[in-house]
Amino acid sequence: MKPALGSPLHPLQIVVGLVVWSLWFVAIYGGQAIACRICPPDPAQGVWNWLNGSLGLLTLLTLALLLGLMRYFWRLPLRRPSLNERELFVTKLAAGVHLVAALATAFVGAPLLQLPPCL
Amino acid sequence: MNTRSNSAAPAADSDQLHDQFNEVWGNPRGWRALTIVNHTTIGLRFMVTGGFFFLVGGLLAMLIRTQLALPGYQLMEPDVYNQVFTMHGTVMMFLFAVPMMEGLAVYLIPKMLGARDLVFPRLSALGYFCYLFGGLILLSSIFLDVAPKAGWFMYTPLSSSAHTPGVNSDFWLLGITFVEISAVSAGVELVVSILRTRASGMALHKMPLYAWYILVMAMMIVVGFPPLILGSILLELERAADMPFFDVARGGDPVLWQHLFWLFGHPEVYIIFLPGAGIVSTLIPVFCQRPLVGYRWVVLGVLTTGFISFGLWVHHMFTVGIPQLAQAFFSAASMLVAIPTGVQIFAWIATLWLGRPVYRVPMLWLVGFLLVFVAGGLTGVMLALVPFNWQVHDTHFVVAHMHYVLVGGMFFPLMAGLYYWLPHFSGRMPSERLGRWGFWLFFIGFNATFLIMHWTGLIGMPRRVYTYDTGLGWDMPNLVSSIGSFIMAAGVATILLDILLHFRFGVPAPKNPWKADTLEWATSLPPSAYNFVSLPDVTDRHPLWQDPDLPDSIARGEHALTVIDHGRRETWGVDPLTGRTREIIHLPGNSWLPFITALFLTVLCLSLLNKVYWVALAATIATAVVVLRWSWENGAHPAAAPDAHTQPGEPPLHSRTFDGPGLWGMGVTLLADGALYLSLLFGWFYLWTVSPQWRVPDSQLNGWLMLASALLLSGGSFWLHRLIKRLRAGIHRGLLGQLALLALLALVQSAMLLWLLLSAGLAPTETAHDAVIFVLLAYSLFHCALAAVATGLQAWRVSYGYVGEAAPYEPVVVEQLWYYNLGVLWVSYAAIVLFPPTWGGM
Repeated sequence: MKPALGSPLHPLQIVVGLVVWSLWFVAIYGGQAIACRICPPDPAQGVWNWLNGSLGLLTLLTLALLLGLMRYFWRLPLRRPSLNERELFVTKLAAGVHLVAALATAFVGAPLLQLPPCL
Repeated sequence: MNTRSNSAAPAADSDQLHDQFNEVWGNPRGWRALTIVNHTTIGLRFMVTGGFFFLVGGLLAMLIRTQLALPGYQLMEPDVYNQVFTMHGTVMMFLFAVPMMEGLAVYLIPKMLGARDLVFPRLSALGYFCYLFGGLILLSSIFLDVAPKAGWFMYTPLSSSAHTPGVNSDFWLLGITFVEISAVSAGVELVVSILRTRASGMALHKMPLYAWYILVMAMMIVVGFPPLILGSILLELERAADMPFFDVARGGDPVLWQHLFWLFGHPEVYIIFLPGAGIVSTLIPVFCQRPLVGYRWVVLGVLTTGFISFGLWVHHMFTVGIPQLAQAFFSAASMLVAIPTGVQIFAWIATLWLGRPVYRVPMLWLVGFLLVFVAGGLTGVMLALVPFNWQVHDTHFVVAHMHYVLVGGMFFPLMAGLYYWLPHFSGRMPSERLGRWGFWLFFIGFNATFLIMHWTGLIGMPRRVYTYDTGLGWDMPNLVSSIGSFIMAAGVATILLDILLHFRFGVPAPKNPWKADTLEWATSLPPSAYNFVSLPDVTDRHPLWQDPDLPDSIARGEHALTVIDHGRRETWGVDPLTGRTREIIHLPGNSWLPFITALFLTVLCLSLLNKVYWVALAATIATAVVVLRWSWENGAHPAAAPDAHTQPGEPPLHSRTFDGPGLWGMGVTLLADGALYLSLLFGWFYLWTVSPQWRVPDSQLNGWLMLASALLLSGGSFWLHRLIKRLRAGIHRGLLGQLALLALLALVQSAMLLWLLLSAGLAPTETAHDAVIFVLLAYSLFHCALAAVATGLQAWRVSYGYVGEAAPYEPVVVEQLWYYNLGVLWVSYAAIVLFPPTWGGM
C-alpha cells in the first residue's frame, strides 16, 4: 500500500532531517544579518548577548528536534517488527540523515559560543 | 528473481518482434534525424558536443599557459587575455562539465533502470538543441572579438554596462541563460525518470548507486540553477533596460550578484562532482567483482553532500566584508561537507581492499581520481579556514585547488566511465596500450601543471593577470606549469586518437565485456533505440550478477510489455518507493517541435543580443505557439496514444489515470520556478536591509487591487480544487463549461495584475526598489496569464474528447500551477504591501 505523506515510512522522510537543517541554516544566517542591521548588540557584551542567545536557543531546539526524530526512526523497527526490507531502508536511512543533520547543526552552530555576531 | 511475463511474445518470434519494435522506435536518417527524441541519440549528441566544447576550452587553456610561460611574454593583448580566460572557465563549466555529465546520465539512466526511454523525450531533444545553439552563440563571440571578459563569474560592477559597455557581457548572460534551459530541463527529466520509470520491482533501495547520485545531482540542478538564471535576467535587465539592481547609487548592491552567483556556483561544483562519484561507485565494484561496501552509507553521504553543499556559498565571499560570525557558519559548513565525501572515499577504499581489483584502463583513471581528488579536497578544507582563505584569496593557489577538485572529481571519473562504456557506443573494446599512454601523459601533465601552481599561489602570484615581471620567483613555476599543460594536452590527443582508432580497429566487444552487474549491459552493443524488447522484473541490486542470462531472455522477448502493434512507445510507470508497476507510460515519438522551438528561441536570443526588440517579440509569440502545439499532442491525443487498449492483466495507460510523469514533471518544474522566485524574494529583502543607498520612493501601488486579485485567484483555485475532486469521483458533468469559466476568471485576475502594474507609477530605472517590485509583479502576471491559457486549453481539449472521464489526468497537472500562483501572489502581497510599513517604507 502507498504510504501517506505523513507516514514515517514515506520516502520523503529520508530527507526531512536535512531540510530542517537547511531551514535552520537560513534562519541563523538571515536572522543574524537582519538583527545586526536593526539593533546590533553592544560589542562589549562579547558572545553573551540577546542575539547569540536567541540564535543559540534556536540551535538547541533544532538539535533537540533532530535528535528526537533520529531516535524515533531508529527505534521504529523495534516497535513495528513487521517492517519489510524496503521499509527498514527508509527508517534506517532517515535515522542516519537526522543524526547527520543534528551533528551538522551542532558543528555549524558552535561558533555562537565563540564569536560576537556583528563584528 | 527475474520473472517471465504472461504477456510476453513467443520466443520463436523474437526477430520479428525486434523488427516491429524498430518500426515504432527506429531513428530516421538525413534531415529527419533532427526529429529524433530518443535518449540514446540525445545522450550521445550531448556527449559529442560536450567533447567538442572541451577541446575548445582546452585550446583556450593552452593559450593562457603559453601567455604565462615566460615573464613579460606578449602572445595576447590584455583585453584578449581577459576574453580567453573568461571563455575558458565559461566553456569548461557551462558547455562541457555540466552538459557532459547530464548527457552521460541521459544516455545511461533508462538503460540502468530497465526503461526504454526518459519520460519526456521531446524535452530531452529541446534541451540538446538549446545547449547546442546557446553554446554556438556564446562561442561565436570569440571570433567576433566581443567575448565576455569579466571572468566566468561575471562580477558586477565590472560586468555592468558602465565598465563593460559592449555586448561582451550580454553574450554571456543571454547565451548561458539559453544553455541553462537545457540543464534545468534535463534536471527535471532525470528526477522524474528515476522516480517513476524503473524496472518493475526495482524498489528505491535496490536502485543502482549511479541513479542515486544522478537523482541528487538533478535535484541540485533544479534548485541550484535558478538563482543564476535570475541573476542573469536581472543583470541583463540592468544592462539593456537600465534597471539598477546592482547599482549602489540607485539603491542596488553589486554584492547581491555575488550571492546569486555563488548560490548557484558552489552547488555547481557538487553538481559536477556527484555524477563523477556515481561513475566511481559503479565501476569499482565491477573491477573488484564484489558489491560496493556500505550502500546505505554511500546513499547517506550523497544526500548529505547534496544538502550541505548549498550552505557553503559565502566561502567564496570571505573577503567581501561579512561579519565574522556569519563567516564562521560558512567556514564550519565548508569543513563539514568533506565528511560525507570522506564516507564515500572510505567505501571505495574498503571495496578495493576486500575485492580483487583488476587494473584495466578505467581503473587507472579511478586510482588517478582518488589521488587527485583527495588532494583537492584537502586544499578545500584549508580554504574553508577564513584566515588562510584571506591569505590566498585571488591567487593561483585557488586556481590549483579548483582544478584538482574539478578535474579530479569530474574529468578523471569521466574518462574512466568513457573507457568503460566505450563498447556501448561502438560495440568495440578500447586499446589497452594507447589508453595507458593517454592516462599517464594526462596524469603527469596535470600534476606538473597544477601541483606546482599551489606553490605559485603561495608565493603570491594573483589570478587573472596577463603577465608578470621577472624576479618575483614566479618564472620557474610558471614555466613548469606551462610545460605540464602541454604534456596534458598530449595526453588528451592520445586519448582522442585511441577513441577514434578503436571505432575502426577495436576488438568487437563480447556480451557484458567487463562482467558488470547493472542493466545497461543487458542491451545489445551498441543498443537499439528501445533498449529492451521485453522489460524484466528486477528485485536485486546486481541483476546481471544474479542472472547472467538476463540479456538473452530479454532479447528473446521473454519478459513484459512486448506487444507493439498498437504503435505506442511504452515503458513501465512504477511506484517511486516500491517499484511496483502502476501504469504504462506512453512516450511521444519523433517530432520536429523541439527543433523548431529551439530555433525560435535562438532567434529570440540573437534579437535580444542585437537589441531588435520587435523581432524578439515575434520570436516569443512564435515560440509560444509552437509550445502550445507541443502540449496539444499529448495525453489522449491520437498522435500521443493512437490506441488506448492494453493487454489483459496490464495496468492502464498513464493518460487514463490521475497520475503520470507530467504531474511529477510539473511539480519538479515548479520547484525550480519556486527556487527562482525565492531568489528574487531574497534579493528584495537583501537590498532592503543591506543596500547602502536603498531608497523607498513614494508609492502609488494599489494594495487593495492586489488584494482583490489575490482573493479572486484564491476563489478560482478553490473552484478548480472542487472541480477536480468531482472528477476524481467520476463526475465530469459541466467540465468544459467550468474550465472555460475558470480560464476567464484567470484572465480577469491577470488583467487586474496588469492594471496594478501599469497604475503603480513605478520608476524602475530610478530605484532598485521599484525595479524589484516591477519584476515581482511581472513574474506573477506572466504565471497567472499562463494559467489562464493552460486552463482554456484544457476546456478546448475537453471539447475534443482528449480530457474527460476516460482521460482525467491533465487538469490535475494544471491545478498545481494554480496553487503555485496562489502561493506566489500572496507572498508577493505580503512582501511588497504588508512588509514595507513595518520597516519604515511606504
